[in-house]
Amino acid sequence: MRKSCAWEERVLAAVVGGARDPEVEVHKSACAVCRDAARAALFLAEAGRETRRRAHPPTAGRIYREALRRRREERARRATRILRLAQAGAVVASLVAAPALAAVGWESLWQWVAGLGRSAPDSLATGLQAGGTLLALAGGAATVMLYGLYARWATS
Amino acid sequence: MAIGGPAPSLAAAAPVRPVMDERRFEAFYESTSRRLWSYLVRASGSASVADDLLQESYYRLLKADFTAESDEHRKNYLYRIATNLLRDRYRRRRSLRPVEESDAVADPSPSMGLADDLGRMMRRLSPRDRQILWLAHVEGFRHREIAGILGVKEGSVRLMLFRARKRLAKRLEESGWQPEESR
Repeated sequence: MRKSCAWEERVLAAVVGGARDPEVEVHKSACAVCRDAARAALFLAEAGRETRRRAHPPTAGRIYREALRRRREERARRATRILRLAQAGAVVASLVAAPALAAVGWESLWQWVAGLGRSAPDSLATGLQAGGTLLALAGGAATVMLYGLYARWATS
Repeated sequence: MAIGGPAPSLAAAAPVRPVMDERRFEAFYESTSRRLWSYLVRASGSASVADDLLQESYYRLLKADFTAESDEHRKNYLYRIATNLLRDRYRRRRSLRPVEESDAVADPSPSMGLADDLGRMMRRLSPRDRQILWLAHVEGFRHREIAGILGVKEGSVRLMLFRARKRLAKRLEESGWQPEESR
């Protein structure tokens, strides 16, 4: 089967241009390649005209401003990448440090709870010691929570 | 925006120099946007997708570190970007198949009357057929340019075009389509 015809360009030019060329008409009726090409070209020419007539692209200014805005955002993202990495590192370090602090402070806390049953002065001394540890733990936990909230807000 | 606080001031401090100034861009856009939108709407089968891809195509053109020898060269590059975006979209949707009629019904495109019929006919073709036929017969690109836009060998374009035309002619014959002048 033939995949092209020497007349193809001439047929297409005549068909799309709307010219009545008797030679082309005779050839077209005898050549399947040119007939298909002519039919497809006519359909596409009509589709092209109709679609372009209905085209409603946004204005150039809108596209241009949007492009500038996106470029600025991309630059800002690149510029703040190190900051964001540092923030993520700090959050991870806090999350690792919190259980470590808890493990260290657990013994003192246990002593204080056990000391509640003993005499008041002894219990008070142990309690003061353990209270300091508890305060440090609570402060650490609050810091981690606040930082988590900040990181969430900052990256939203 | 990545970070709430410092980003805007950093962004404002950094001067953004586009490849084209606004006046030049506007002239280029006016001469190409309707044609490109038409290509995108017929190749994708959806006006809303065409809107998105049009915007993205021009954005990438502006962003690209590319010096065009002429507006013709720039236009070919723009169509190449748009075609790559279409291909990425087909891949994402895993739909290297014609868009189903149900998709067309669900698409909130503005009513196009005759264009709807033409669009339905186009949607019965594969995305690659739609692209190559449109580029060759509506946009009037030469085979060499189509090869560059589609990322195929120049020699393949003739064969692809022949097959696509044959498929379209068959569909048109089946549907009884007649050119406007003979109706």
